[in-house]
Amino acid sequence: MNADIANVISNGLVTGCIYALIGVGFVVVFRATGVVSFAQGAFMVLGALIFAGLARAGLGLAVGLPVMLVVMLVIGGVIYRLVFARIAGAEAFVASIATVGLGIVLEVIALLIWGPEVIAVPQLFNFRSRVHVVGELNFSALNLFVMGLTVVAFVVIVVGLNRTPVGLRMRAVANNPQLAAYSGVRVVRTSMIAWGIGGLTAGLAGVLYLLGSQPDPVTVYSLGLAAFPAILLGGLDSIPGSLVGGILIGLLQAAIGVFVGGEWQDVGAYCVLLAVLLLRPQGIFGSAEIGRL
Amino acid sequence: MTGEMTMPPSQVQTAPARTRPSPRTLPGGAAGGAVFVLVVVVTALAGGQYAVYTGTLIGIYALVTVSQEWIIGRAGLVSLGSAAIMAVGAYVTARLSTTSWSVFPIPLVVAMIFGAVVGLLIGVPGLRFRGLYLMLTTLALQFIVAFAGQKYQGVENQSGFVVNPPHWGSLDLGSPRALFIITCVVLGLVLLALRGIYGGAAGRIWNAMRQDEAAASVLGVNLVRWKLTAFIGSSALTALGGSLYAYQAGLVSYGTFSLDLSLTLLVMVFIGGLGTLVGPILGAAVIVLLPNGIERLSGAFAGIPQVADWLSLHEATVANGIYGLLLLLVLLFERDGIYGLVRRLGSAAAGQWHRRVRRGAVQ
Amino acid sequence: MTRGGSTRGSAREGSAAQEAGPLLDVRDLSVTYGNGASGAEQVALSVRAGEIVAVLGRNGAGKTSLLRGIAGFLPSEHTRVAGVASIDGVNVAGRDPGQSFRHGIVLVPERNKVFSSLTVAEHLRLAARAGHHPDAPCAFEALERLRTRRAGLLSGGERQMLALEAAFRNEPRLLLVDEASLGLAPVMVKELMSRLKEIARERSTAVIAVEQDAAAALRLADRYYVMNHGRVVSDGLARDVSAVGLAAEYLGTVR
Repeated sequence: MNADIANVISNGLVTGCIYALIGVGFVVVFRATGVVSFAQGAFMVLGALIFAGLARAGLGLAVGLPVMLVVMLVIGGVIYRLVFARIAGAEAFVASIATVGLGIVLEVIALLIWGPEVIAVPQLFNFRSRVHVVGELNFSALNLFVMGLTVVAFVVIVVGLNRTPVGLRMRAVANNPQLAAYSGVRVVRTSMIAWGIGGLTAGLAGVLYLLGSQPDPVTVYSLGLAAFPAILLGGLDSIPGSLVGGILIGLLQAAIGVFVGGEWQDVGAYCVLLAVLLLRPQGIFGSAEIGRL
Repeated sequence: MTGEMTMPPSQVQTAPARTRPSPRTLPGGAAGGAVFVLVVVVTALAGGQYAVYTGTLIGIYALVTVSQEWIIGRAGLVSLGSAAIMAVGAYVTARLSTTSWSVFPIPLVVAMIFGAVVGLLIGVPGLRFRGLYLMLTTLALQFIVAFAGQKYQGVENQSGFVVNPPHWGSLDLGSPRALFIITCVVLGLVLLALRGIYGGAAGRIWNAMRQDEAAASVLGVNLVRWKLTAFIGSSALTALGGSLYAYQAGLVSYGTFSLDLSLTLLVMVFIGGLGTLVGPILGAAVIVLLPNGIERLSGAFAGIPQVADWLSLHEATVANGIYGLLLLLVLLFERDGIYGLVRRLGSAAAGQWHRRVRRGAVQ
Repeated sequence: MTRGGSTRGSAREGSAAQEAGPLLDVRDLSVTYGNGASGAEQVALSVRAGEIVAVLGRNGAGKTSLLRGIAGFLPSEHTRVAGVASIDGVNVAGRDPGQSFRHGIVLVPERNKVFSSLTVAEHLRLAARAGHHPDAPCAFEALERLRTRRAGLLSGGERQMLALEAAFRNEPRLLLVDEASLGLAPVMVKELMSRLKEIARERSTAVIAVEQDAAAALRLADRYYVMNHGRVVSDGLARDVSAVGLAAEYLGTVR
């Protein structure tokens, strides 16, 4: 295996995992409340900044990461309760526009509190140590950490949705919120959990991105939008789709970066988005119904 | 020159009487038109440099927001790519302005044609399904146009294409005041045209579609075709706005027409209020004047240097945050936007006044 | 949204006592939708514990609005409910569906009455909180062999059975059933209705069944109400009227 391809695979998988995490939160929110969230990028910024603050205060990954996840879970839930409980459901389209406003507000709050500079975070990984896999392919400890956490997050979400009472209620709300309410499911509470998961996974994506690069908040925010091609490719309402779509777009962008040039990466992803819309609007795994949304 | 240019606005004033009255689209259309003409004429004749400049900017944005309202308020669609379509119009204008096709209004017309073509290209894949998919296609358009623009400008035009001022043979129309008048005349004509369209059969079809797509479809309305019509028309007008923007800025570069601009335009439409022509214009005016308001605010806090410094340091960020907050508040609490709020407060005040008058009469 | 004062709380829990006051007392109930359309206007109706009541009327007579006015609307539907719908003296009109559910009101809607992406077993698990074991035998025996099937793949009759099965497992004191017969074969309607009646009697569950099929409704119900243009226009005992005569009455009341 030559070095270029090895590079594509390792970079593509890592970027893909971050897209997948942004995407899975998006999908959970979309399924539970029908809202197309343009605010995932803002949740990433918040997660990254909160974690960076904790890390600078001396808390390592073992404490900082769980604390960040809990805080993001709460923020996501509270925002649903305050903003979207009133308008989601019957007016999903209006709610989707509202997420644009929400995204701007959250980003501005983050910028005003923490400033627009590159997010400072202490070095938590030794980038020199690499794990050799096969041929030229090797992964840094950070790469393995990113991929491992993504796998854990997906396993927890999939098992949680399919094997727990809360997950069953979330799927009921996703399928038909009105009927769920008449069946005794507390729709608002369940939707709050969905938004909490959306915030939590976006926050995790933000932290993982932060650890690998040295981004400023605005760059993190725009990555939230850059994940849309991946989300659409996988299917807006499919959880496995968000993983597959994320990885595919990640690999594609890495390949473009290596063989064509970095400036073509975003435009390449968006051309895929247009192609998906033309050829298979429900994505690889999405249900056909959402084509009519 | 100014005298010559004020001719068209007077047509604006008389025209509403000819179009079919449509209380939904523009209550008191004639009165609104008169106010519009009055503001334009006073600003053109007596406005200072700042007023003329700001007026032009508001006019350009109002043109774009009014055309975006066409798809949002009538066809129930949302585009995240209005800035990209403005960019198309702006590039066309910049390139034509240095050729023999630069005679006013040729660049504007060609820009509209290009805008319509882009609308068609992006609308066909985006409109086969409901609103959500147009949002995503236009999001893609936004990135693709920015990238194509960057490539098109290349290294030699890195800072952008220079736009030569508009002219009519040997008559230079490039002065700020002339640009202001051109903008307002174009805006006025567009408003008249839209008023006519909304008041006619097409307007009723869009209205029916927005209220109940299924029912409209059963009645034989081809939903995709009518949405596409709205999107193409609105794209042509948005490109026209881009064309005027190019003349006003004098330089066209991809960086101007970012996703942020698209979002700002969206905010303008929603906070102004959907379903009317006045709303988007109000929205454009509020958002254009907002940074200035913040500047004033920081002036007002001069006594407390910390607040004043903080405000002037974060002026752009604060303005951004206020846009976002306004959008949220409007969507949550006042779906009809500022115009709806003004109208409601107005009628409440009128009701109060009537009650008081009646009480007075009884006493 | 009127939250109205509480009314007398006289119904005795779970008893089918005919002589006790009503379990549900609806007065002046009006439903106005977000677009200004009126669904139901000043409806008055009462149901005693364990009683089965049919609400008849043409399409658009306000029957569904009445049921949903009792069971509640989601806040995002922006629907206004005025008046009183009191169960055990607690007014649930204008409250959210969860409130009605906690007071023992369960609605089986007309369309989308099951979760198409969940299996039959998952429906039973979702309804298991009232203490019923998810694996307990189904009151509708036909569901037993369908437990692993997705509800979206069930036939119309099977969906209706599943919806009713899940509703009964939530231990309602008042079951609201919207157009259970709609789109079903006559044989199926007959079977379903008689089973519904059996189960309701066994558990002394009060039922309000909204129906267009007068014959099916009268076989099921003790009493009936007829609605037209959002209002109750007549009511009486089911045994006193013939389905044909009644249907002619409300289908004949054309403007």
